[in-house]
Formats: sequence, structure tokens, C-alpha cells
Amino acid sequence: MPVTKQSATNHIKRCKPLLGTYVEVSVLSEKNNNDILIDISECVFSEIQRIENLMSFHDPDSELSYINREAYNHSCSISKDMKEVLVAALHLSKVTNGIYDISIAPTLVRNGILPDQSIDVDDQANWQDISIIKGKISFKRKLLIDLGGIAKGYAVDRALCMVENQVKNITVNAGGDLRIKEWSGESVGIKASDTKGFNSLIFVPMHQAALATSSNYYIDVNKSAMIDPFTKKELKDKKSISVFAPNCMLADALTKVAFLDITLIPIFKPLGVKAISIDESGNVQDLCERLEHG
Amino acid sequence: MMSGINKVKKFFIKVVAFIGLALLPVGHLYAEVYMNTEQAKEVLWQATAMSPVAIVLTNDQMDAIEDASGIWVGNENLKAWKTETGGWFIIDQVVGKHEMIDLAVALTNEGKVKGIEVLQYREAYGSGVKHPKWLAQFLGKDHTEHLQLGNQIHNLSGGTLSSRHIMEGVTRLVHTWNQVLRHL
Repeated sequence: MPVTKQSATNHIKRCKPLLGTYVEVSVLSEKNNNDILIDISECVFSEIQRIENLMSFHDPDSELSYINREAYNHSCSISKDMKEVLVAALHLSKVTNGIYDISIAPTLVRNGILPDQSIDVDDQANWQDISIIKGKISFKRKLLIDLGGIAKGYAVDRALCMVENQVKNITVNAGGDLRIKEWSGESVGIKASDTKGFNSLIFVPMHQAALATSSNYYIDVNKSAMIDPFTKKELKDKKSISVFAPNCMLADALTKVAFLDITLIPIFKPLGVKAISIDESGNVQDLCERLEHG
Repeated sequence: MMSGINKVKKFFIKVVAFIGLALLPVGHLYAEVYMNTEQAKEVLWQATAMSPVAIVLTNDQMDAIEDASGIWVGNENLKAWKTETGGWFIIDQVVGKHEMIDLAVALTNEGKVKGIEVLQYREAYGSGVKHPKWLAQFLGKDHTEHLQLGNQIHNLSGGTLSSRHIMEGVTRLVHTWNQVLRHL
């Protein structure tokens, strides 16, 4: 039985399981051509898959796993993508005085959030023990990097930027970390919740091209992916924090900063960053405004 | 002909079922429809011709798939098409703690995953959504049949939901190929 050819349209919306979550791609094209729409969305998914293959903590064959195994023993050459993400992550660690720290992975392993790859770590190690010189990375102490709080946003950025010139509009949404080409005038439904799951949708206008939200409600009540880098304690706060930023990598990373120390968010205001929190009752609060007005 | 006692019994079952449904906690559903079956065939297999194959798994086959994959097989009916190249196109459904997914999976003639497309995504929310049974009532239904459907939502942000259940579903189908489809 031959496959029925679908009538031509100028938009497509697809969803695939990638980056450990559901990745949704919406493309609006100038022309009615299904093949072009499928090709463009395929490019987006392929690029996200490529970044996942590099930066997955779960995959022992990823570039990140190689770095975690070897960078204490010898300096390792890293890819352009890895360098871009690590340099951005270390810069964020510097300006937030270590509140943002990609070396909290051992705590996530101990708590069962990340898989145990049987690598020894030094409990005293932190982001300052990661050194990147001339495209090579080395660890001064035994540590583990997890890019779970930044790589998803980077993958969204990379995928969107790769095809945005070919389309009228495109949205890439990786499990709530999203970026829209023509974002002005768009609104987004943000899940608000308690620990039993999300219980309401709050609609807010897009303030920037990218938005990311962090919340603990899909994780078991006794676990959390949000770790204070100084106390190594899990944050089990029920609130949800969303950050608007010009790119998704920054939005993704800053949701973690906002959760840990909201007073740091105004540092990023000149970049167009805006942070909002949604409490259990669905109340939206502009966190920067709250800080400014005490 | 149905006896009087049987008629009364059936009537009571219907009444109890109705009351049971009426007592289910009220919740909402966020639903997104991405593709229909024909679109998924075109995306995953392009112009490759395929024919539907009626497959009803036996209890032994279901046990064998469960043993090999470690994943529960909830439905003995498999909605599958065999391609002219010996590959497969399968429509399946997975239910997680929060989400219900209709998916299309393409397997090569060697049983390798060629592609996965989510056809429909449904996520339950609301203060009443606390029990898996609430989700179960939506099984096998499409987006037009839900009790309360969320408004048209173009973009949705929130805590990241793991796609573990869909990956389990795909693993189950790969083992279904190994136990059953490869012999057809």
C-alpha cells in the first residue's frame, strides 16, 4: 500500500524524545512545501542529537564522560561546542561567586539523580579546579562535571540558529527550555505546581527570545536536582522560577542561579534578563522588581 | 438470550461504572497533536510502501517480551505495518506518571530503531490529579474525547519532564520485534 502524500502546508510541529525529555519543534515557512518543512525540522533534531551525544552525563561514550574520566590525569582537547559551553559556565561561576557550579555532579550521583560511573572525586573540588587553556581542559582535583543545567539551552540555541534564516518563524522547546525566533507578541503557558505535579497553567507574555523554567515537581518528593554548591544540600522548594534571556543557554543556567540566590539576578538585567517566580497558588512575581522595591 | 439475572447484573455494573467515573477527581489536560498516522509514515518511511499486519500477541509472547525487556506489556494488540523492505511501522501508546503519549516507531529489517515521532502528547494537571487511575481513563482515546481540554497553548514551559517512559515503550517494541515481528 503506497503512502498517501499529505497536502502541502506552510507549518509543521513535531516532537521527539531527546535530551532526556520531549523536544518540540514548530516551523512556519514562507512557502507551502512539506518536504522543506520536514528537512528543516530534521536538521533541528539532528543538531540537538549531536549536542546530546557530546554533552550527556548518562552516555559513557559522550565527550563529557571522556572529560570526566580523563581530565584529572591529563589535559584533553575539547570540541568547539564543549569549549563554548564550559567557558560560559565558568564565567557564570565567576560572576556568581560559585553559586552556579557545574561540578556539583557528585552530589547528584550520590542522590541518585545522575548515574554512578564509579569515578573517584575530591569532595573539596569546585569550579575553580577546572582549567581551559588553548582548547584543552584539565582538572586540578578529581571532580565530575554535569552540564544538565546549561547544555539543553545550548542545544536549543544551536539548533534554532542553524535554520532560522530559512524560515519565517521557529520555536524550539526542549522540555520547557524554549527559544522563539519572532518572540515579540508571543505568550507562553508556564506550569505552576506543588510536589504532586503541575496543577495550573499561568500565561505570561514573552519578554525575550528565550525562556527556561526550573522546578522540582517532576522529581521524587525526596530528591532534587537543585543543589547548593556550598552546603551540598538539596533545595526542595516547591516554587517554580522562570528566566527570560536573549538566548536559551543563559536562561537555562540562570534558573539555577535564581533558585539558589535571587539577589544575583539583577547583575544580568543589562543583558535583558527577567526572572519571575510562580508560587503554589499560581501568583506571578517579577523577582527583579521585588528586589528593587524591597 | 440473556437471562433476567444477567440483565440486572449488567445494569448494576453500568451504574457502578457510571458512579465510579462521576467520582473521579476533576483535572485538566494539556494536549498537543503533532501528526496523524499518515504523516508519520511519510516522515519515517518516505515513499516506502507498507501493508498493515494484524498482530495479536499470545500470553507466551507477552511474557517473553516482558522477560527480555523488563517492561510490562499492557496491550496484546499491535498496530503494525510491514514495509516492502522488511522494516516496520508501529503505532503505540505509553502512559507515564504524568503523561500519555501516542507514538510512531520505525524499525529496520534488522530490528533497529530508524526513527521515533510523538503523535500526540497529553499531560494531566489539576489539584485532583493524584492517582494513576485518573490517567488510565484516557487510554485509547484521542484528543477530541477528553473531559476538559486545555486551551490552545502554543508554547509551554515548566520543570523538565523525563522522557523515560517513551524510551521504555521503544525498548518494549524492539523486544517485540525480536520475539515476534522478525518471524513474520
